[in-house]
Amino acid sequence: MLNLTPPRHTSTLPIAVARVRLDLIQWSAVVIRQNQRLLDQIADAAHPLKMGKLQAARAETTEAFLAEAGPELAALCTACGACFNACPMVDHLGLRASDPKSTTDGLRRLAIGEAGHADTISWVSACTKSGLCVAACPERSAGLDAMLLVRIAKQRALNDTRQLPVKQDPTYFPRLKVYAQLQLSEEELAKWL
Amino acid sequence: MALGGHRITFWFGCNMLRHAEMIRLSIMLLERAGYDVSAAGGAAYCCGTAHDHQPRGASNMAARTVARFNDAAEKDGRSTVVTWCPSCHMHMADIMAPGNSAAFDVIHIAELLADCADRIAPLLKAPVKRRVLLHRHVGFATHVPVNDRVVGLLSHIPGLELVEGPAHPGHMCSALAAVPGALATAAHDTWRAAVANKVDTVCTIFHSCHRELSALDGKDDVRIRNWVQLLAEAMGIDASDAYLGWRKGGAPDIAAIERADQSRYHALVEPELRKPPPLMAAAHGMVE
Repeated sequence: MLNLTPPRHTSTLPIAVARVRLDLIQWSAVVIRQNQRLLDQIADAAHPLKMGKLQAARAETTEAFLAEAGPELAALCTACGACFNACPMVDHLGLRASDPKSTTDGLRRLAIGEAGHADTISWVSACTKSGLCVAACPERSAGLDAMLLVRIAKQRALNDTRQLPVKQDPTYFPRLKVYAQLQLSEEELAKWL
Repeated sequence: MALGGHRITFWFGCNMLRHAEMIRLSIMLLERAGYDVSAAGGAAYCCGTAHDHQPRGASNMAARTVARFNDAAEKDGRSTVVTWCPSCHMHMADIMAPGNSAAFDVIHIAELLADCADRIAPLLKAPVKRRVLLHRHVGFATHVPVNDRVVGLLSHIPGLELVEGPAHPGHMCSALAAVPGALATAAHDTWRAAVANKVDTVCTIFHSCHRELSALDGKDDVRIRNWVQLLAEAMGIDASDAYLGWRKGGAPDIAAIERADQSRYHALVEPELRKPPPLMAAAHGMVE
């Protein structure tokens, strides 16, 4: 079962605790270095982060991951149409009258490499990553990330079923390079890029 | 959970290269929060999110970028990557990490600074007498409650009055540009709310929104500022904005243009700086 939602971690030890532990660092740094676990706790206290612990790799490449994830997510999808109904772009596209079930059935088809319905193609091509589909999906708890499914469907429509035209901008990176050269110092250019 | 010390990589993405001052302000804020910052961005650190049409190429870009961050974690102790761009952040969490072993954690800069509010807030001493409308999007909340985090940070600025604007579709304005009329609608709705609420400033959260709204700076006596610029102002730091000036008819210094190659500047950059602002595009029925 897929669980593609990044886990959330919270660690908010009180400031007073942080200060005490920072004093401890100054008092006996050598001892603390020998105890990695304690050091981790101190670092957490000093910098109480809500860290995004990344999920473990489950494929050799992102290309391989997406190839696996498409059919898995499609298998979880029931084509209920909830994601389509929640999507704010549907009105922009004039698709509100479309059948949500057949449109999301097209989503499943695309994710396994089959051609999708015309309305599905219009819809996935206009995904702006609002993410409202994620919460709307009744299969979310089963591991269905609806936004990722839409993303994969769009990729399939571009590369496999070729129902979407490829829009390439060969000036994308050259333009950014000019912006960098206009504003960054030699040192920044060398260190940051 | 374990945090690999105070050494971090600030991954500012690609399109922030239009806004060098905002990169520098972000680094300054992270340093004031107590972190040792190494910045990284541009094509060499591309996440690949804009290359859905090139799955192999995008996969290779993702692998290279993850490898670089792994290297920074292993050799330089930078096991935390702090993001700016929501596209990069989501792509890392949802697609890059499942296809590449990542030896680092990821946190968004707004989340990190909000968590360090006890260290940032005391530095915000200079009153910023502005009535500010926050330009928001609904996206990215799946990963980071960025609107709330920015509101929290801005609430520490003395003198600043905050009005939350309408929440637009997408995770930032650039996502809307591909859908005819969507970007113009978002800009129009933001502006209508700004005027209705009698604000003097619209605050952007992300670079692409700042890029789109910059050309409207000064219209109806409303200024465009990014949240890091407002924090800097409250620290008494002059937060200049070259891109905004260029978008309003200014131009880079001629020496800078020559350094960047004049012909490339005229071919690649000038058309973007001179394009009509989104409100005008809406009025003229233009596609963004």
